[in-house]
Amino acid sequence: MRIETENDFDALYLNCYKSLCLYASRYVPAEESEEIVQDTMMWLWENRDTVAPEKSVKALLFRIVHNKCVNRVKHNAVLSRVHRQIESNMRRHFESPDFYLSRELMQMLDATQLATMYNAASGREVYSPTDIDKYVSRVDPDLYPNVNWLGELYKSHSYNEKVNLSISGGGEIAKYYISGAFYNEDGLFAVDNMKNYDTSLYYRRYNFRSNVDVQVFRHTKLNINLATSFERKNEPGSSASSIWGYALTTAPNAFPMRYSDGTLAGPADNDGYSPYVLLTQKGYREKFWNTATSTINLNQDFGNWITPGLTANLKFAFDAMNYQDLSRTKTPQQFMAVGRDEEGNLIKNETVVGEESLTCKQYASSRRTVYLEASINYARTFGRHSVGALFLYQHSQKNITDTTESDSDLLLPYRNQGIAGRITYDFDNRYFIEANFGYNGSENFSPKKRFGFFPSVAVGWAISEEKFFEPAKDVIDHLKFKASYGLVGNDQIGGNRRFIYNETIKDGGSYSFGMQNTSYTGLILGDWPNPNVGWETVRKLNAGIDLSLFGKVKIQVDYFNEKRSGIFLQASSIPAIAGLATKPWINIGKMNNEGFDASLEYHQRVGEVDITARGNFTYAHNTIIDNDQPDWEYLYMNTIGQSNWQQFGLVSAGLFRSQEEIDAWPKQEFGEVKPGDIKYVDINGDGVVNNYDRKAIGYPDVPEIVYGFGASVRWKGFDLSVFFQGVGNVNFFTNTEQTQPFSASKSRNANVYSDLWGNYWTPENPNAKYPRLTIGANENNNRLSTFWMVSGNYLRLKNAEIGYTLPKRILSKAHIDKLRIYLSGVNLVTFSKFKLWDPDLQTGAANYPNNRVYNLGVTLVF
Amino acid sequence: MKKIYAILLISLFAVGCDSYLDRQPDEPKTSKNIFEKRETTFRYLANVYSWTNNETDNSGQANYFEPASDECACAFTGRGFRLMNNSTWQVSSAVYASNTYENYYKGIREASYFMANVARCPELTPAEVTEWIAEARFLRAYYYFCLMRQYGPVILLGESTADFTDPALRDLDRNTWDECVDYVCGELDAAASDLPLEQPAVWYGRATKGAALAVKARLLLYSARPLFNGNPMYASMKNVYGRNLFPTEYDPAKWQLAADAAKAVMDLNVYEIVGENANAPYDSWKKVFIERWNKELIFAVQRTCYNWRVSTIPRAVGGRAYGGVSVTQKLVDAFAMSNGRYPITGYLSDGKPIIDDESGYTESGFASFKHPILGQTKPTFKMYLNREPRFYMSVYWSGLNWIGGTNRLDEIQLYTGGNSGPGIDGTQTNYSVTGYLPFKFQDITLDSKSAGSSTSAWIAITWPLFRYAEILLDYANSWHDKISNLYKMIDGSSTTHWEAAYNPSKTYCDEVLGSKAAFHCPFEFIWDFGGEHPLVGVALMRRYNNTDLIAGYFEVSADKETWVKVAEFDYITDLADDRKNQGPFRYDFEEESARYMRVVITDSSNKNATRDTAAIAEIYAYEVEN
Repeated sequence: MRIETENDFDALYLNCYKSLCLYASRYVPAEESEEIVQDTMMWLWENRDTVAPEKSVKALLFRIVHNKCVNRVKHNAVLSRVHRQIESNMRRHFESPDFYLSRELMQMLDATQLATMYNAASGREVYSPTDIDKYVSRVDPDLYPNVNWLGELYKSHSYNEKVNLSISGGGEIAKYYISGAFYNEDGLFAVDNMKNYDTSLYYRRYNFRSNVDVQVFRHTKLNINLATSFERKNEPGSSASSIWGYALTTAPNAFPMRYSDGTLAGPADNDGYSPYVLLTQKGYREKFWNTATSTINLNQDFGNWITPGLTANLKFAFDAMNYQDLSRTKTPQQFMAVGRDEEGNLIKNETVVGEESLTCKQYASSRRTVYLEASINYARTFGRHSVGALFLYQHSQKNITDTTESDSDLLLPYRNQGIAGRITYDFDNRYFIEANFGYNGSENFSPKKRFGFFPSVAVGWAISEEKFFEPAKDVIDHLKFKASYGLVGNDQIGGNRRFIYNETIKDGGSYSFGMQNTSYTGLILGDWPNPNVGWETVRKLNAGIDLSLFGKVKIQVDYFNEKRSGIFLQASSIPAIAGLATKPWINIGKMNNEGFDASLEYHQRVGEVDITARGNFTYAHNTIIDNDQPDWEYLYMNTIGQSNWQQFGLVSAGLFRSQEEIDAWPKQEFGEVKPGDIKYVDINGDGVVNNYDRKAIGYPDVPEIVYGFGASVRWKGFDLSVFFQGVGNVNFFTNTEQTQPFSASKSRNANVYSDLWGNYWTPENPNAKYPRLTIGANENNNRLSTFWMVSGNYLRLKNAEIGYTLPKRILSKAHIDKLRIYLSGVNLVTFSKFKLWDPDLQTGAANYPNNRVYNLGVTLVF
Repeated sequence: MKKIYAILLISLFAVGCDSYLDRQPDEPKTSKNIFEKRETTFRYLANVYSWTNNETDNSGQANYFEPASDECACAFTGRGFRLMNNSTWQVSSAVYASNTYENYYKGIREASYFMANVARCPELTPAEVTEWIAEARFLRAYYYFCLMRQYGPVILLGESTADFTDPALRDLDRNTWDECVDYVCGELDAAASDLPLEQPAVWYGRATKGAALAVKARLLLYSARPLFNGNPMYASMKNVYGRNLFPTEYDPAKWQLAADAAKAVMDLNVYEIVGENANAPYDSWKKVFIERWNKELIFAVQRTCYNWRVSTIPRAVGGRAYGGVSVTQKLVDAFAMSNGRYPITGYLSDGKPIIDDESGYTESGFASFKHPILGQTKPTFKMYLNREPRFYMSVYWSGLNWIGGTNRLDEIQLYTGGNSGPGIDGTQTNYSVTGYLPFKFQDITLDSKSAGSSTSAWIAITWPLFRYAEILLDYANSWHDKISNLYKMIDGSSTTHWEAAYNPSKTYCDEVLGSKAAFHCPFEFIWDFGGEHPLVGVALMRRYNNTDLIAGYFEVSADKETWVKVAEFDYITDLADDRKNQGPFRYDFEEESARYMRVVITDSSNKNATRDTAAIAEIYAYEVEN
């Protein structure tokens, strides 16, 4: 789909927000997951014009959220590393450049194969053998081009460098840590150096951070943490996704990059774009971010004054980010060759008039956040009794500006406020009980619905600590049962809707009057005021066990069951005759989510060999209980009762082999049907196959199973580690223009995966993998159906690294603390039944694939 | 220290909970204050106007109906009209739901809301309030009219905006056709009485008295047509409350209503036919379709011509020329010759045209020809010669030159492999499907190659929703049909039928009727009116889904001695044997005073040794009204 209007975006937001949050929350805590999803949606809105059309935006969103989560997790890991370093002495740290050595791209047909298949599709000799020979011999690349676009536009390697410098020190009273970092990364695009400005893709980042701990009084600690970063990104004038999209889809024989006389080749606007022009001739775009974060933390220990174990903490944080985006773009003059005159000179038509100068456009946005948190903590142990208590107040405010945002509501400060408390008690490390509560306010709701109370309780029993368990302790050294139950709330209503208790007046459609054609923008009632809307709540049940065997194997299994109710949805059951321009948002949706998490850890030392292995496994399945949608005539078409991301389509019964078979089959009402076309099952038995025969097929396009496992081995100076990652219970559709030859809406975008070569239906090849070839779209075959549905399951060797650390006795003479040489690879091997493109990209493969990356590096510590 | 913390915490909490979350939009627009100012009140009225469907897109994106019709073939795949052409549309398809049904009901709601609130505006004079209400009332009626045009009878909601929380809303079902017509006509009359006769130039496009009366005229014409006037095919359609949705009886008085309504527009004396000069076709054409707000327009919507032009300018012109919406041969055939005769009178079963030799039309050979608009002289197909002027304004064929401002092309080729035709190597998706493109609405002074994506560069047109020429035709149509009183001559019911002979046995024929007797054509049926009547027409309705009756004629007589043949019919040639087309088929003639009428059936398609069968559902006779 394409995001053109706010309505499209709203629909998408409504459709995906919840699911994205849920997906993200597998990786990061809930609050962070929402922040990530909001950022992603905002990014999508800002970039709605450049996101490649006709491809699944949803898949793209999940991909981005996934990446952001992974970055976040990495970021947290980096933070903890920084804190470890604070405690150590002054160090200088230098890391050498890394090299990308290889990559993997999709395999497409070349011009000769494409021409041969075209002849087969049209049933006549459109390309003569002489023509095809010319593609092979490349005697006339102007008229008979044979361009491997992906190969030409993407470099075989790129370069990045990272320099990190940090200093830390101090004593009892104060400790400090200062660091600076520089990171430079070049993209994989090839660049035309004929311009005096830079259209290449590169990214540079400078980070500075300082962290100071001061013991103000004996029991009062002050921590000040300041960080700032500058990021600069240079891009070609077209978006990376459209360059990738056209490089992937443009036919190898459509046109060359340039004609032999140096002029640029390219089709008219009405027939596509030259990927070479998009990459190198459209000007450039410069993006700049600066980010500053500051945190002040004051901690007071009341242990001596009031009672031991009582502390209080006050935290204040201020973050700001500014973003500037300057694009200077143009479209150059382009030509298409149509033949040669009698003297052999090329005859060219001007297809794009073009411009000679760059047009400048700017965009800016900013964000600043203030956060205040105050808490009182109590933790103490009396003999075998341990008690703990926490009381916390927080509020935060986020202000944003955005030069393209016209909705004043969305630019008002975003505020959030709440208190939380916790009481814990355990007896003898055997029995655990904990009670939590949150009392949160949301600016989105009317005063009487504003605050929500969300309590929860948790209990645990460490059975392995019981006396009667002792005989088994040699085998099972730890066993604990645990369970929790409670409420969680959500006030994010989606659809860019704030202050839901207020009505909104929006700009409606416009209408022109008068001789001067003056346009008047209509005003229309937008959202309905709804003072009754309140918190969406989730009832969460968790139950699990922790198990440790022989002190070497640790197993943790958790079952979870969430009943979400009061989900904000636009009421769907209001009849169309009510004529509502915007259907009201109400707390009506219900959804269940259940599944389990499991992890396993194993550690063993055999002689001088250290072995560690880890694995994790998550399964989650959700079910829509109510989404206010009326029943379909055929109940199997209902989304209620299905998973939130359930896919619907026709059920394929293979390919038709003969006209007799077609005549005997229920009539398929999508378009012309011939032998070699897809045969669909008449699900409702009404004698015809049409859209009412679509049912739930396959698994959702968001994996229900995510797992990973890895191991590391260390022996003397050598270390080796591998990490695998996999997903399961996921399906996606593969009917793109690149798997359905010659169906592209823009004729130059006719490139086809080489897997089609020899695998399409002909009377001689009746068991083919792909349907018959046609010129133009085949309406019967281009349907979402089980025919095009493939399993998205994969297992990937995500990371492997082998390293060698030189012995200290050699290094100490050179005053070097540590020297390690390593070779690592990312995305090395993927095991998947689906081989056309990276299954992680799902439908369309519109996005840049996961690169296979090799790093060779040296770590030096002085 | 501890006191400080405690006070800090408590005060933060106290202050926070009181007001921290009460931040709200600062003086936003609300449903209360937008009707306080003239400017925002008018913008609400612009919103009421904005729900008119965009008919300027003929490529099947916003408006699916054009490429789904018989007059157009479209090269663009994957658009909504394909659903209709492939018969795969559903109630949830945008073509059904959002673009038409839902949008018009949204317009209706907005109009009702505006009418209920506009009087609150202190900056409007009472006269303005009355007029603005009338505009909204007109638009609401127009949206109902649009719904009825597509769906027949629809649900009427009346004055108030529907309360969407009311469960009774789900119990509403369609009103009858006559109720809808009465309601909409009443609303249009009410609007017309408060609307101005003309709008000043700055407000061209806002509703006028003529617009309201024109909508009414067309609606009443729809209502008089046999499709919605006693059509037996719709006789069984009932709503959930058991009411007939369509009138079950034919009411000829509806023609009178339609004629009166069209006459009312004519009597306003505001509109005129422009561009009637056949000697200057381009000038005439430009006046009607390109010149904005010309005197022929009664109600028009002003929009950019981008959508229409990009999809009909031949690809070779470049820029955004997609040239993929094409005119069908059947539409080309429908244009008359310059001598007024129609070149094609029908089609044979193999699709070949039946050519009227007297028209002078021929499909073979070439001749030199100067295009009246493009001005170039070159040989072209003889079939395009000597056609009526409208043909050259409306149809663009292969081989012509192209003029677009300074961007001129010597020859546009719409054939396979041509510069604007289907690609010989298939690498084309923007081409004419039929070898023709529409030429209507093209402006040869506009350089479309450099117009780019800016819609204003493609120049706005006033897309005619109601044109005066149509009103004149409506009037002629209705007048023609309203002159007579109607008599139903069999039993007044179209669902029963009269049959010539029903399967008599051989024995019956031989023994009762005498040897070798049989029931064979011709059959005749004579009526005695009991006095002389000024007859002007007869009509015949066939038995539904039955083609036994093939040919025959009508005669009338004053004395039952001398018969005057007034009508002849042959349903094989007339109807191409369409079984479902029941009629009535009407034949008009010069007034004949007659007491007797007879129908003679001369041929049947259902014959055997003992009998020929022919069936008639109803016979009608028309006389001049006293």
